[in-house]
Amino acid sequence: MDPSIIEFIGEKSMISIIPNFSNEPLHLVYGSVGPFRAGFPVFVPLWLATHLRKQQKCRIVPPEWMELETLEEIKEEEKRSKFFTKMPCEHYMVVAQLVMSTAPDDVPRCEELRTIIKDIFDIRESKLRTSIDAFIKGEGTYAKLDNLTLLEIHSVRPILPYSLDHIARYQRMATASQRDTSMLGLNTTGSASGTGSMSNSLFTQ
Amino acid sequence: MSTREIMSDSENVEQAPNEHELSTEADLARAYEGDDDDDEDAEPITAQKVLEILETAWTNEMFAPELLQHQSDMLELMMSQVAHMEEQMKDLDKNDFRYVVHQMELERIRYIMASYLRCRLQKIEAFTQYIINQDATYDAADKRLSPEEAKYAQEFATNVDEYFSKVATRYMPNQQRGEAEQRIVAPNLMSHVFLKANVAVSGVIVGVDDEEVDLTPGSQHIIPYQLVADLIQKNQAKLI
Repeated sequence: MDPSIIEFIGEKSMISIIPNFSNEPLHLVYGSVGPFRAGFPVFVPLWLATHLRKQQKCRIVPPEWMELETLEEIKEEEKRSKFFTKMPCEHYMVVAQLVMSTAPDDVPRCEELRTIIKDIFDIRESKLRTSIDAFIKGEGTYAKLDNLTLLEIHSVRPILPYSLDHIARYQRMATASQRDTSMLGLNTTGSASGTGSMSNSLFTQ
Repeated sequence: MSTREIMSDSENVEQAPNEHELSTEADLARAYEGDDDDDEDAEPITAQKVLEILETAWTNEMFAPELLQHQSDMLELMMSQVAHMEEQMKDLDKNDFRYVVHQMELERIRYIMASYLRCRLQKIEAFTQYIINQDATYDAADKRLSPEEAKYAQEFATNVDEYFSKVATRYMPNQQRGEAEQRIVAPNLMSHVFLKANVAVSGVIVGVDDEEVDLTPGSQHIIPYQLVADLIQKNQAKLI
């Protein structure tokens, strides 16, 4: 899946803005937003926040977790823990990226935050790679992936499910051919159907 | 087709504000059941709910190897909601704040619907004969293809067959033409997918050796699709 779709999904997260205009509440299909009162914070979807910010119609209030101390703690915790820790936001990378690129001026110490968020992401990615390596070598077909965010899952989508599919296919072929060889002396029709199923599986994606 | 109306007051695209926390379960269950038989007593469903159902259907469809149940009813409701809103926005100034925001949201919704339908068409084109054959075995109420898609699939299959026969197979000796059944391309239902549980599900078989696990709400897993296909169907879990 295209990363832009992940961004699209992440843009639904709500974020607080301080508008510099006033307006009645808007009744969007996804839910109502507003009323907008100049100078008072209001929660809106991220896609709306970035749009308004680009029009200079609001300031974005960075989410609570987007703060150096909190992120330092998360980073340490992530380093300590063997498993993936729970992130403060399901789409933390998307939110951080969008907020910091559209409104760097609204985020205090933006550059430092950018670095530390990237650090957290890198730690998690390398953890993910290590565990995938162990998982595939252990010949598993099922794994639990709690606390991984959508973007992280998608970073391994091109390789993980695909390689597991291939391994599963080889295993099926192996069992099929084993059955064939054991049946060869006894039953010729069995081996014919075995080859049939093998050639079929070559056509499946 | 369903005769339910989306709840919508007349004044400038109003709709009931967030009441979804109260009635989520009932509405969702109703939406997922065949609703052709209970049009009379069906409660109005909010546009917000319809959108949620469509979004889930969209992501599920993107990640499932096979074609899932069609959502014509929901699509139709959403289409009429979009048309209705556009009708009401007609008189607003193009630079009006309300116009811009509503327009942006409608574009997002339209994208979801288009992407969803495109994704289904891709599957239909890839697994045409397989999908047609499968669909023939289902009851009328749980056909995977919508009537329009069924027509498209049938025409697509005929055209491909005709094309192959015209340019190639009729010039081949008989035994090389192959049987129609051998040419059916089937999706790999055992391909691995990422899954997120919506509710607690106990005793899901997760491996070839009948190993079982209990899924807790919100937990995420990677697992061969076929083992959890029924959970997706029953909306107990979604693909991510």
